[in-house]
Amino acid sequence: MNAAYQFVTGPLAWAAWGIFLLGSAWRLVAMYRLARKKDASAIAYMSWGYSLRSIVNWLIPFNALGWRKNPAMTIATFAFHVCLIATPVFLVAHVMLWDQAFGVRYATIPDAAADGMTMLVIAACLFFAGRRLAMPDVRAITTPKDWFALAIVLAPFLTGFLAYHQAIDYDTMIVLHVVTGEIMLAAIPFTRLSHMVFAVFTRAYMGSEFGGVRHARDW
Amino acid sequence: MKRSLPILLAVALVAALSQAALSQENIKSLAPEAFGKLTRPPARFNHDQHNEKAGLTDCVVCHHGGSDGKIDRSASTEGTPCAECHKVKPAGRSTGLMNAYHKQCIGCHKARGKGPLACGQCHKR
Amino acid sequence: MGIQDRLIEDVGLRRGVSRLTPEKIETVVRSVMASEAGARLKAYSETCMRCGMCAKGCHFALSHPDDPSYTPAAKVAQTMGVLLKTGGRVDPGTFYGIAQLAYTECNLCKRCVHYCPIGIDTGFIMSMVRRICHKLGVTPQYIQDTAHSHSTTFNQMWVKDDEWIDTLQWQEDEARDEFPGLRIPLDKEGAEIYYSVIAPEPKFRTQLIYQAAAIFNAAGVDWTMPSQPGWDNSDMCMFTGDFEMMGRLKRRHFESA
Ligand code: HEM
Ligand code: HEM
Ligand code: SF4
Ligand code: SF4
Repeated sequence: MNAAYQFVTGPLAWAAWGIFLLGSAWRLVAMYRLARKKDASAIAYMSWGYSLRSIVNWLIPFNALGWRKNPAMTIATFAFHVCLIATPVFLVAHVMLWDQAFGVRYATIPDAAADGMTMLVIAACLFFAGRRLAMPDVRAITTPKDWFALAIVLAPFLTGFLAYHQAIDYDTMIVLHVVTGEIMLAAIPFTRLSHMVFAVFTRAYMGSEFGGVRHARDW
Repeated sequence: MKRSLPILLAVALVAALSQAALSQENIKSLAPEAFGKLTRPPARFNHDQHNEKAGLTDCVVCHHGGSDGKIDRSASTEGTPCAECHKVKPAGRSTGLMNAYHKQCIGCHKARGKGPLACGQCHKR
Repeated sequence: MGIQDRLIEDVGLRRGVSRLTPEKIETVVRSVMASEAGARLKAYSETCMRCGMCAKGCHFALSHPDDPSYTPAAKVAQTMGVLLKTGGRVDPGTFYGIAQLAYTECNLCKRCVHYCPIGIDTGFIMSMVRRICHKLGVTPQYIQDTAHSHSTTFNQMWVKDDEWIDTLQWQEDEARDEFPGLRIPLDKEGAEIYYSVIAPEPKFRTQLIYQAAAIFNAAGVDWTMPSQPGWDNSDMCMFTGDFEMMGRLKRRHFESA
């Protein structure tokens, strides 16, 4: 147990963070290089003003047309993404680990709130899975990659939740949690989750094209 | 009279019992009052059992002295509550109370490859 | 449900496809991927979360509520998705469907962009598919005819050079009955407004030019119309994927301006 836990919180954690950070940076640089070579016209259209205008408008729930026409999805996806990022970042247990390892200390959210947010993420994942099965539109375009991305995200929350409540076997669960969390981090640059890295730019480009060329909104 | 490591909290408990004596028989968990309302269940810790298992006879291994974030193992401090030196909100380079426990316990467990490391292994529900 | 269940006969597509082999398709797909396709296509195909929110934006999807294969993301999957997955090695029958979908079930309007949180431009992806179709000589008959007209006459309706000037003068005459002082100034240097039309106006809806002239006249603005080829501001070649000809047209139009 000790050896396993030390391994997953030691070398494996370094590897996961390394893959996540360096991998994301590398993907961004590679994509930028490709754009410089092949999409010069698109780069020429890029504008800070129109990009931010589009991003801000899409960050407001029920503001963009897409959000208004898909209300259930809007609620689910905003709850999901906010909790997805806020929970692990401000979780007491995680901040404790940063503190012990690097002396980094910052604000935390109470465990009870984090627990609720974890349940929200799990519920949103179930909702996403449900619509992939039940809605013909979504079902028709769902691929194994999408299930894979969903599973990778669900796993650390489910195991984190079980570990927190010390359900089943804690010693196994905590190792499983750390491993699934690390899998998620390492998967971000190379799976569907790479939208975390690229979505800002695709949105920014569309905002720039619609704003600068068509003089129209894109939300 | 084998005391060592975990005395930390024990001491606080003892203080709570109107400073009856410094013999910490029956210390079962560590939950110093200084923390106020606890975030997690108290860490399970049976002082005597622990030290027997760990083969600890020298109190100063845990009950160390020191200042400014530096441990001094020449001055034994058994009998002094941890919270006396390690403040909940530490000032300057000194170690906070929570890190004092976490780092001392987990650090030793890591070094020896034995003993709990993850939250729930001490903070049992 | 899918494009293969609703193929329609088009002589242009049929003739084009009859000349194809999987190898030919693969060669062209690979060359387009290697040359023209860049970061946008790559980012779009990778980051589409398959959430289906775009379905609410596309008129093709809305008018086929029971057929999810009209959803923008589904149309991408059936065209560019297939080409990317197979590296372009598809049989000609499949390619017929890909071309039909790209030309007739998405009109590149980009409405779906307003509904996609990621900002995936399905219209752009479809125009890349059309580009590949064009390079393989697989285009629907009617639109190809207008594209040919563009390459011959620089307008999409086979309007001849003298017919164009005649038409303008005819409309000017007619309008002067109603507004005696009216003029349609041709090639006036330094005019404030350069007014151009699409070829179906002189061909089928000539009175539109009359009406525009009446408005300019009433507004009293300084305007002009081009007399030379390049007056048509439409561009069917952009829609067929003939980017070379599209470039020539645009150039001519701007030169005329
Ligand atoms: C380096 C990798 C990670 C380590 C070492 C780690 C460690 C921990 C620890 C020690 C706990 C506390 C368990 C307990 O209370 O007993 C925990 C809980 C949790 N972790 Fe992580 N974690 C990691 C990655 C992640 C990631 C990537 C996520 C999500 C994106 C995540 C989400 C959670 C959640 C949701 C909980 C439980 C919250 C609750 O229900 O109260 N963790 N983690
Ligand atoms: C930080 C920037 C991020 C942005 C802008 C973003 C945006 C989006 C958008 C627009 C969608 C499309 C569908 C929907 O609205 O649910 C989506 C879906 C999704 N995102 Fe993110 N996301 C981000 C980060 C993340 C991260 C860090 C993860 C997990 C590691 C993640 C996991 C997911 C998953 C699993 C889905 C799919 C939901 C489904 O199955 O329908 N996202 N995201
Ligand atoms: S809305 Fe955008 S991300 Fe979602 S399926 Fe459609 S194109 Fe893909
Ligand atoms: S661009 Fe194509 S897919 Fe998008 S809304 Fe228009 S027709 Fe539909």
